Amino acid sequence: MTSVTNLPTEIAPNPSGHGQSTVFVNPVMTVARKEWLDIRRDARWRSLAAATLLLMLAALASGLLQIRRLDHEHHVAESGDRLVWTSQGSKNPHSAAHFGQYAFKPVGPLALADPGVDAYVGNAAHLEAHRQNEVQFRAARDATLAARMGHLTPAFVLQTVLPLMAILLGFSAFSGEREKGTLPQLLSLGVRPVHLLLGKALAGISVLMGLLLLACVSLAVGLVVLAPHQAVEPGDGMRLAGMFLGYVLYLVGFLALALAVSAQASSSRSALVGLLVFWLLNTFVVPRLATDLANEARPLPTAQTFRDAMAQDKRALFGHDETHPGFLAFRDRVLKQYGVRRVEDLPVSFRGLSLREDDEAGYRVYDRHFGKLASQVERQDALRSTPGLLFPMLALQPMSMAMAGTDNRHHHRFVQAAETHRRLIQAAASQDLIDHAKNGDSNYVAPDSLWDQIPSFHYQRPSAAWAWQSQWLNLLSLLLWCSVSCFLAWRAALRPRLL
Amino acid sequence: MSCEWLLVRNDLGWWAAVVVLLGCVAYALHNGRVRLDERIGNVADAQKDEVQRLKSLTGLLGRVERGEVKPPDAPYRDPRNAIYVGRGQGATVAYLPDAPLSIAAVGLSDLYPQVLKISASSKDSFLFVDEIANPAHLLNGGFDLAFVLVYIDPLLILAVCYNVLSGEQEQGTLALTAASSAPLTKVLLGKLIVRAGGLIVAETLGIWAVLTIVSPSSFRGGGVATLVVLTLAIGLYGTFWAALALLVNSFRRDSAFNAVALVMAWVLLLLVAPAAINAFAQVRYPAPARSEMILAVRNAAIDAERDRDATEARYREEHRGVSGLAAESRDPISNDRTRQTLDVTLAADARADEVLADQERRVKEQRHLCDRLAFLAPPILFHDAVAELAGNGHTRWDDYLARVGMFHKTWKTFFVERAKQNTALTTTDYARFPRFPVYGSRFVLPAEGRKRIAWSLAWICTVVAVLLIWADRRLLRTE
Repeated sequence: MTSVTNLPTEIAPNPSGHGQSTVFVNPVMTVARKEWLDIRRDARWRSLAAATLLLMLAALASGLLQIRRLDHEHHVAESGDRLVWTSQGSKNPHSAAHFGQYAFKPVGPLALADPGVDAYVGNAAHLEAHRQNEVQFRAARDATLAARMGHLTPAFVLQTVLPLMAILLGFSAFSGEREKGTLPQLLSLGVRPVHLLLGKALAGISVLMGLLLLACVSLAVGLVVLAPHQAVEPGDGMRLAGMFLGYVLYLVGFLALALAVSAQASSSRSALVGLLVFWLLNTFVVPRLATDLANEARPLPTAQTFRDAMAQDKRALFGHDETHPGFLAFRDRVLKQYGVRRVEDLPVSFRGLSLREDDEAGYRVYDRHFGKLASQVERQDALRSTPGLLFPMLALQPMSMAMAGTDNRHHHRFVQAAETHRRLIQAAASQDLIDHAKNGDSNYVAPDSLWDQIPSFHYQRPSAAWAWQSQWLNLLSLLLWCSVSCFLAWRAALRPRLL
Repeated sequence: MSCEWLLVRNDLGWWAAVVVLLGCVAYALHNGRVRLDERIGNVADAQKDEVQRLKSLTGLLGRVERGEVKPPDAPYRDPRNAIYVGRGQGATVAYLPDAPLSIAAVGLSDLYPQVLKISASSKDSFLFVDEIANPAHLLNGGFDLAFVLVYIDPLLILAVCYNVLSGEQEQGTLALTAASSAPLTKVLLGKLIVRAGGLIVAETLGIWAVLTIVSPSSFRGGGVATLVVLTLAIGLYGTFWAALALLVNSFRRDSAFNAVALVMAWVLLLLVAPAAINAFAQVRYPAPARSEMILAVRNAAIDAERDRDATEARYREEHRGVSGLAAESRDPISNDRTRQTLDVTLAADARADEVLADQERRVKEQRHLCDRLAFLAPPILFHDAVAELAGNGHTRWDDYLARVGMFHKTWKTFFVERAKQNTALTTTDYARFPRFPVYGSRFVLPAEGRKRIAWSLAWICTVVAVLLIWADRRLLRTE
């Protein structure tokens, strides 16, 4: 079967009869040009496109202001905490370890496109001795109740408003022609239904991609504006490309679905109603249902249960309890290792050694519990994304957040980085005690130069490859969704409903 | 109306809308029940944990008092040490009980912690401890009754009302309808009452029926009155959308145009307007940086430590050679560490209170602006009203946090006074620990909440009246 996409079609012989030449017209491009002209001339479309663009620009502008403010706050917080840490004066290193540092979560530049879960995860963790604390201060708590109804972000416009445009572009593509009586006429002229499909699809895609490209260009400009204040990395280009790909598949899939429904629906009205029902289910209903089902199928522990379980495991640790069997066993081991009989005879501080030993045992407990919690969250997310093939929002949303660096996984990465730094502080404090404190001397204080040697927390964002790696399943879902929609459109257009 | 009822009775589409709505209501209330059961379990677990901690402390205290065991060397393990007990193991539980209609709306209950462990440390140490939740789930929200009422209900009402006039036009029956003696507006209102009103009545009866099965406690403790107000609010909100459908129909366009226009109105009022209002409020009154509070508290702690060290150095200088100093510093209640902890507690708390008060003021500025702009979008007002009626709106949570603040002062005073006087805690003291005041069995929404609901419903009523008058004028002009 010859491809019908590019073959010019002989429309008619030259009417003058001279030279027997024929005019070849590309039917797909002709249909596309006509559709494009209709869209351009229709004031409603111009208004809708303008309104959508305005919404996107407003989202970008408010996002830019927000990110610059958060970034400034982050820098102030980091430098403020550094000053507090280094101003402790001479102090017992373990006391300083209890005082600890704070890890403040920075906001990535691509949060401009999709802030994801950032408002719901907290942005500060206390890095103190003996405890791995949770990240606190969820920004969402300071927002209004109406904020739960929606945030004006580019992701919101692309995920919610543009699919509506795709539906409006496609719902009456075939059914409208049928109702006006022009469809049988077109087909009788020799125009193949597939030409119609491709022409209308091309026009629709050009509108949607135009808006999407404008969004990407505006985002890129936003990143350039942010660049003096934010570390925009080369990998951000790859992340932006991932987002673009996801949104292209999503929107093209919606357009194809609209064309498919239009070709087979009995009327434009029923096509529109059916597509709107799908849009509503996809954008609002199914994500919430999926959330509830994921919560029921793989529930997370409550905070009380989580802390009780950790406290139970920590009972095996000796902490500061010098009567604990674990402490006594450790003491005996150390005395044997150094070949002495009394703690006072040790060449190093036993207190420092015991603190280090207790810390390392504690790390295993925290790794187990926090690791398990993170896995449970990941399993919930995976379950939630499973119906992404049927309802593409469930695949697109996590992909968009992952590319922006604002999903659960990126947050967990920050939590791990903060914990690694906490352990660095503890190790430095304990080592100083081991090396300099004398056994039996409870008044040892470290010089304040020690605090300068212990660095502050600085978070390095993971690479774009790391973000891509976790999203291959969602990307596959979107690819399949787009392919299935296109297939349905092609099948429906092969034999469109004529009456 | 009776003619319309005869038509609607045979309309499968209408019945489908009723079934979908009832199904959503039942599922949402089932979800609400599961959520409330979990919350009841959380509170019970927290209270059990408090009982166990106190039992452990009083057990050890009893043995120390009877001389059976030596008091622990470390002051933070000593059950007699007021400041450490008050800041740590003795922390008491405060919780906000669920309101009778909490089953209806999640509101703020997934963001604010229901259970707080109040300690003598500064407020920031316990106010911001969150319940464990998947952040992606918080972002998307769950399927609760508020979602059904705010989002799905209007769509179904629009689905049955979008062609109240254009349908007649397209079917060719408009002339017959207009030929009746009643004004066209009255006829159309009659149709809307049957189509939309029937849906609203079915929904309301469904809510009452399902609540009777899954949550009979919703009818107790002031629940019936709240349910009546909720029913009124649902009726008003549904009427708003029906009035909007009438107005769009009064432009005398075809059904397809009406459908698109009404869907766009839904998108604008439910998605775009709230998002735009929030974005504007955030830019105009940005939320405070909580890191300011962290730094203020930490700076206060450092300052207190320095002041303490300087005081002790002066003391040692002035009392060189006095043997009593050594004896005093061995006392677990009044030793250096305890005194330092006390000083740090007082200094940090004062600073935290100051910063928190300023931050709360800034949060409220943003909220007030949103409240003023919410009058542009009735769905925001309705959403707020439902959350308030469910006891999960801002007013009840603000009231709870204010009570927590007042109780925290009482709790802290109890322990700090004893610590300042170097008084050891006794078994009698443990029995007299302050307890967070229990909420009454009757649900009473704070006055501010009642005012908000009243204003919201009054405004929705006003908007409905305006829409109906406007539609009537248009229909009269084009008749």
